Formats: sequence, structure tokens, C-alpha cells
Amino acid sequence: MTDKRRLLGVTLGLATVALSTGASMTFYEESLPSTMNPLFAQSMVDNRVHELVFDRLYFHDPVTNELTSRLVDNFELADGGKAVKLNLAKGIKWHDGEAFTAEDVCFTINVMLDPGTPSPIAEKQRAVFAGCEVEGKDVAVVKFNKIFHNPQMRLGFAVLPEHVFQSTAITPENPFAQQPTGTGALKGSKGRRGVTFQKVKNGHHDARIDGMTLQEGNDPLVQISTLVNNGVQGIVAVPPGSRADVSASDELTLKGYDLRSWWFVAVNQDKPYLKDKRARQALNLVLDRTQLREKSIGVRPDERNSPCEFISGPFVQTSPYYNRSVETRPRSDLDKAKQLLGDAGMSSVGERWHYNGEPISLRIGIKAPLDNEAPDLLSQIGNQLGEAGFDRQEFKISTDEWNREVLTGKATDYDLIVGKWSFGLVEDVNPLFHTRTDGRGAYNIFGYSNAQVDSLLAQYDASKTQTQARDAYHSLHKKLDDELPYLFLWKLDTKSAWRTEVRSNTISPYYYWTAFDSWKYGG
Amino acid sequence: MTLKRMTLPMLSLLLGLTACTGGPEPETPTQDPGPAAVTLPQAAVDGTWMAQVAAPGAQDELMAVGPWRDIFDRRYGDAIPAASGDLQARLHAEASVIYRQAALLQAQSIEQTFSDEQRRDSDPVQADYYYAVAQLVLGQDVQVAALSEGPGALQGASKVWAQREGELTLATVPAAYSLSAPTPGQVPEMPADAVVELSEQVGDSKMALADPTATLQLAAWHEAAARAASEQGDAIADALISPWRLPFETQVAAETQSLPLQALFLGTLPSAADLALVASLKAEGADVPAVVAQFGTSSLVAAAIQPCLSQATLDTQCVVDAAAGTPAPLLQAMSSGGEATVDHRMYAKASRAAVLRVGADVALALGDTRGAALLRINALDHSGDAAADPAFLISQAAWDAGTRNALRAQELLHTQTEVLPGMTSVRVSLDVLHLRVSRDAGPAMPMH
Repeated sequence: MTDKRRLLGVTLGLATVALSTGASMTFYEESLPSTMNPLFAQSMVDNRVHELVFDRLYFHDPVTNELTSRLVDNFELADGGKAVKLNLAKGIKWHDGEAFTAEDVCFTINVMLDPGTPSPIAEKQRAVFAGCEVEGKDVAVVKFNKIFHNPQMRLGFAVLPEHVFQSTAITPENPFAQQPTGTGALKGSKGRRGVTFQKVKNGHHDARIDGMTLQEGNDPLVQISTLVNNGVQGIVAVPPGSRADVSASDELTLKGYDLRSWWFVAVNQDKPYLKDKRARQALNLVLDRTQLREKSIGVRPDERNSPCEFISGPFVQTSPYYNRSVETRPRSDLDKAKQLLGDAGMSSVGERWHYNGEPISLRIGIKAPLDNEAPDLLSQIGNQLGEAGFDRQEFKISTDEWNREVLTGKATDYDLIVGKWSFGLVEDVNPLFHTRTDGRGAYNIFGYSNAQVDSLLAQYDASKTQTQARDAYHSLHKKLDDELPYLFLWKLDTKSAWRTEVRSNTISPYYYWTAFDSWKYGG
Repeated sequence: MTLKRMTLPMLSLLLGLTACTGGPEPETPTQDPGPAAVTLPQAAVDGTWMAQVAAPGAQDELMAVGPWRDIFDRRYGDAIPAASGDLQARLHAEASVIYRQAALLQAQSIEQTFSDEQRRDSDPVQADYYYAVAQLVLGQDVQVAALSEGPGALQGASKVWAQREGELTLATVPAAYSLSAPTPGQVPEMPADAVVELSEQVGDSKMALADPTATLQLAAWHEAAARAASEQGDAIADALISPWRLPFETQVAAETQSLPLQALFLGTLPSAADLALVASLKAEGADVPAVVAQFGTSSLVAAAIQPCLSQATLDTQCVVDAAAGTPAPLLQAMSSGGEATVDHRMYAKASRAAVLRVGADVALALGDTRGAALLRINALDHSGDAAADPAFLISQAAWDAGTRNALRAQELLHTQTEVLPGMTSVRVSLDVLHLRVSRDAGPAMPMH
């Protein structure tokens, strides 16, 4: 890029800032949020957006990791430890001016307990909470199903406004999902092409940035170019291929974002040719992960401490749940794959695989925004399958379709789906692999069902000690390495890029924006 | 005309146009002040390894002898046997520092897992022993000897602790685990029996726990090897280890040592004066502003930080700005003999991390824990390439364990598992902490 074009970009960017009323920033996200209602958050984009608009009752200070609250002044244990009495902070208002009270805390808990609220996270909270009582305008007594150590850690949910809703049964279609009311630092409004945020000064928030605009990031080169030219001020998830450029720039800072994300290829074992686990094991051996990683993410085979580390199961290698006795498969083994495919009942005709006399054409999809992080991963996987003798069709799945079809188990037309899961402190993978029944297996993409796996997941849920939980998940890891409902690919670190004019920009692990009040733009 | 000078007239033109459009006058955003203009005393610059290797031919001459690729990659297991003399002393000293920080990480993890507030009825009875050792590492007055018998003892190790006499120093940590005699050029393994699986008191599961005693023994081993490695071994060991002493070790103010370049090149801090500064900050009863002033003309990081320091407070944003402003004048000084190379730029950038890290030490010495934490987080963002110092990264993991932030601690330690033998054993205690913290947290769903 020439200096003149860069100059024009810088000047136009500055003009954008000058025309706004007060400090305002724009940033790129991986995609648009699917909902502004925290009950129905399904993506990390959702989570991050909600962190700006709502307050969680308790949260970890991103600087000191201290468990603290903006909404609660103090608490005391009650009922022999099965309840906590919360004395709420005073003077806090909802974005519409109404006062935040104990009614809102109890309302939120009752919403989660209401079976008419079809929220997967609410479903899980029903095992934690027994109820809530309002003892005064600013006093709420939260009741648990049993005595928990460190009970405040169970209160990390976003609080909802009681006065906005008609009942405690809240569905995803409620208009709140587009026009939320929170107590967070910013009021948010979701449009078709972005989300706009406006500062709301409150008793407990006084952000130093007046407004923000979230835009969906597309082509990585365009994202970086726009950032360099000050058309946007930040990128939440910098594509790995662009990180070196960001790091080398004096105008940009590459910042760490603590998040546990791992990539996978889900396999539709309902397809007759994929039902036999030997077929899935064969596909696992067809993939050359080293080559995929090099071509789509740009990591050289000999690179140490790369941001992209292979995994052999549903956890990252740094996790205590990761079973280190289960080895990763960095390279393909086409001879063994061929043998397994034959054992699984496939036959090679004209160097193409057939099943029951019919040629197999694999329909492969990838969640579209992932193409920015790993460009051409879909076609690279397709190429490797093609070289192994499979015809295939490749599709990019929009975020909407992902939420509507993939997460709900309706994407049954696909044979393989490439995706990414992200976790914070809690790495509960039960929703991914449990049989879809009675609210469990909520994110089981292809309706995978195995009684032994269900049993191990139940052991995890029922474990009385942390070591029992670890052991259950170690066994799960080993089992899934054999069963392969997923072909596990890798963990990929997330980094953000911000212009140096954005200061005091501490990024909170997982939630990102927890310390937004301290962020400054332009001085 | 530079890009900067061309931008301002254009900006003025645009603002003028804006004023003509009517409506409320938009607020003009404050110009980003950019990195602070940092003044570096010549003596402070000259004392840095960055400036010294920038002298014509200096880097080539230095790197002609020694396993510098392994040192850059922080592969101590390969570098130590391949080095000799002062360089080997330096590497052993750094290994001692790394094991010290690893022991601190273990101690913090154990303390946060088995303190009175966090202990569970199901925990192995031997948790008492580990907790006692952790308390000792953290400088608490605990009688491990009291655990030589009974259910809370650990077979063998408890008895050895009980037999120890006198003041606890690293050299007097009991030999609970078998190690060879300290020998320069060797890299001993972590004793396998330092990690044991102990039965929980509920159910059949076993909890793996790792004894920090073994890690302390390795730290002591490498310190002794450093001192024996060369004639300057004592001076090199004192200078490199003093900034990193553990809470139970006596910390005294330090004088700037005269160190050979090979003891400093690619090291965690730019100069010997910087090392002495940090050691002096941590001395008991240190007058922080006076210490920083004392080193103000000889230490690059002191010179950068001093303007941010008032009598009892440190302006952390000022330190962040000063850190951002340090590489430029340093690079200019390095380039005075010719053009800056890619290596020069990388080395100069490492000074940014050094200012942030020492800024954190200053904040902590002033009792500003939050400021220290903030500066450490900023330092992490600049801890790559030549600034990827295992001692700092593991110390940050220890810090995180101490605040129950097991997630980041695990990520940091994972990147350091190959620097020295035994780091995977160190991870054991951190895993236990992570499991405890994550099990206490509320439920969560996977997110796409």
C-alpha cells in the first residue's frame, strides 16, 4: 500500500472520529450475535455482546481475578449454607430508567427454573437453584439445592429486568432478543448489519467511551487494512495469518484473549456408510492435520509453541481433563485408512469409494466465519478426502443456519461438519455427546448415541469429587477416540488487535468486556 | 516531509469543513499522546546487552561460541551441556531461577487448593504435608516436622523434613528425593517419586500430587552448579538469582555486578544494573523511590520508570507509556554505528517487556497489588521472541495460581514444559487447582 493511499485512509478514519459526538469506536467481531438475550446465548459473540449490555451478579475481576460484584454490596450465608442472602447495591438503574431491585434477581432465577423457558443454560441451572425470595427492596435470598463450596461462584449469571416481561416463561422469540434492557455499561441495539452500543451512565458504570459499533469481520486482509487505516479500532479475533503483521506494527497491539477453543469435524453416523466406526476411523486417518494446519492457518511443521496445537479428544491439551495417553494423529495413514474402509464395507471402484454399489459423495459444511480464521480449510479437507477416493461437495454454513439447523440436530443432509467449540473455566462437554433426550445432548450435532458414552457423561455429572470428574472425562476422551463422533483437529489460540489509541484495554478471560469501564479511546 | 507532518494540515481542513455543516459542535477527540518520550541516560544504555551486541562485529563474535540457538529457544536441557565457563554458569543460574518459580507455582496451587477455606472432606489425608511445604515456600512459619508421623504425613519426605535443622534456606532444603551431586554441564531429571497418587477419602479415585520439595532441590542443585561452573560463577549466580528469590529466602539489597556479555545476552533484563535494581526492590524494608533513584542513571528500566513514581505511588498508565517509548531511543542508540537490523529491532522491543515487568515489581513493592497485576498483564502481551523469558512466564503462572486463575496459569506453563526436565510434574498441582476452581463454578454450555 502506498503512503498516499495510507494517508487517505488515515485521514478519512480521523474524519469519522471527528464527526461523532464524543469518543466512539468500531470493532470487528467474528459474526453478528444471534440474540441479545443472555438466556439463549449460543456463540462466543453472543457472550461478549451480553457482557457489555448486562451485569452478571458476580464476576471475576480480570486484573486481580477476585470474585466481585457491581450489583451486590455484601452477602451472608443462610439456611446452614444452602442459601445466600444478598444485600444489593443501591442506586442502580436499568437502561430504561427503572430501578434495579431484588425482584429482578429473583425473577431471573425463577425464569431459569421455569420449564417454559427453553434455554439450555437454564436447564443446567435447575440442578443448582431451588428458588429465590425477596426479603426487601434490596435484599434477595437465593436458595440452592444443596450446600456448595464458594456459593457466590454459582451466581455468575446475567440479571434480567422483571418489569419488561409478562411471565417467567421466556422464549427465544421474545422481542427482548433484539432490543434488550440491561444494567451494563452500554445499551445495545441489534440491527441487520451490526450492533450499536451507547453508553449509559449508572450508579455502578461510567464508561469512558460513549459508544461502539460492532461489525461483522469478513476477509482477513480487509479487516487488517481497515484497522491499519483506522476505519475500525479493533478486531476481537485476529486471523492467525495476520498476527505477525499486527505484531510488527507500531500503531497496533496484539493482545492475548484467554479462551479455550478447539476445532472438529463432526461425522454423521446416521449415514449408512459412516455408521461403522471403522469408516470414521478411516476418515480420521485420511486427514493430514499437519498439512491442513500449514495450508489453512500457516503453522510450519517445525514451529514450536505455535498457537495451533493438535488434540485427540474434546479438550485442549492444557486441560486436566485431557487424557494424555491418547495420542494425536498429526499425519495421515492412507494405507491403513484404505484397509479400514474395506473392512467397513466400502469398495473402491475406479479409485472412488462406493457403498452398496453406489458412489459416495460426502457433503461437507463449515461454519462460514471460521473461514476467516482458517482460510480454505474446507477445500483443503475436501482435497484430502478427494485424494483418498471420495467425491465431495463443500458448503459454507451461515451463522443463522448454524443456529437453526446444526445446533438443533437438523443438519442431517451433511456427512461432515467443521466447527469450533469454545469454553472458559467450565469444560462441560456433555451437551455435545449425550444422546438427545430429556433436555440432554442439546448440541449433539448429528444425534450421536452410545450407551457407554452416556454412562461416562452421567458419571461426570454425578461425581462427588473433582478427581472422579476428571477420571470420567479421561475415560470419555479414550472412548471418543475409538468411536469418533468427531474427528478432533486442534486448539487455536485467540488474539485480538487494537489500535494503540485504545488504552487501558484489559481483556477479560472468556467474557472479554468485563473491564470496559476502564477502556479509553484517544487519550 | 514525513507522514506525520502531512497528516495535520489535512486534519485541520476536515475539521474546518465539519464546523460548516451546522448542528451541535462535535467533540474533537483528543490526539493519542502515543508512546512517552523516554530519556535514557547514556550509561544506562551502554550497560544493556542490546547496546553491547549492536557494536560492529560484537554479536557475530559472541555467537561464534556457545549454543545460542538453544538459548534463544530456551532449551536448557540442550544448552547447558553444550556451554562452558561463564556461559554455563549463567545457564545453570537461570535454571535455578526457573525451578524456583516452578516451586512457587506449585506452592501457590497447593495453598489455593488445600487452605482451610478450600479443603474438602474427600481430599487425601496427606494433603496436610503438601500444604505445610507450600506454606514454607510462601514464607509462612510452619512446622513440617510436626507431620513426620500420622495420617497427614508423606512417607519418607515428612521424616526428612523433620530431621532438618537451622534456618531454612534453599541450600538447607532437605534431600527428600535423590539427586546426583551438582555438576556443571549436567541437567538432572525431576525425581519420578516426586509425584504420587494418593487415595481420596471418598470413592476409589486417586489424586496426583507433586511435592515442591523436589523442585526446590533442583533449584538448589543448579545454583550450586552455577557457582562451580566458572571463576565468576558466584558473581553470575548472585546477580542472576537475587531478583528471583523465594518468599522464604532472605533478600538483601544488591550492588551492580560486572558481568560478561554472555551472562546477559538474551537475558530477562537488559543490564546488570537492572538485575541489582530488582533485587534491591525486594529487600526487606526497601525505600522504593530511593532505590529507583539510586539506579536512575545506571539502569535502563529505572530511568524509564522513575518519572512515573511519586513518593508512595506508581502511575501504571505512565509505566505502560514509558515501556512503549523505551525501544525507540534504545534502537537509535544501537543504530548509531549503522543501520538497525531485524535482530536489533527485536532486541530493542524486548526492553518494553522489561520495563513493564520491573514496573510490576515496583508497584508490588509499594503495596499496589492491582497495579502490579495490571502491569504483568501488559508485560504478557509483549513477552514474545527475545522477551519470551521462562522465568517471567512461570512466575506469572505462579501469580495466577495465587489468585486462583488456573486457566491462564495452565496455558503459560504449557508453553514452558520443554525448557527443563520436570515441568510436566509441576503441572500436576496446577491441574488439581483448576479442577477445584472449575467444579465450584456455575454451569456453562459450550459456545460456538
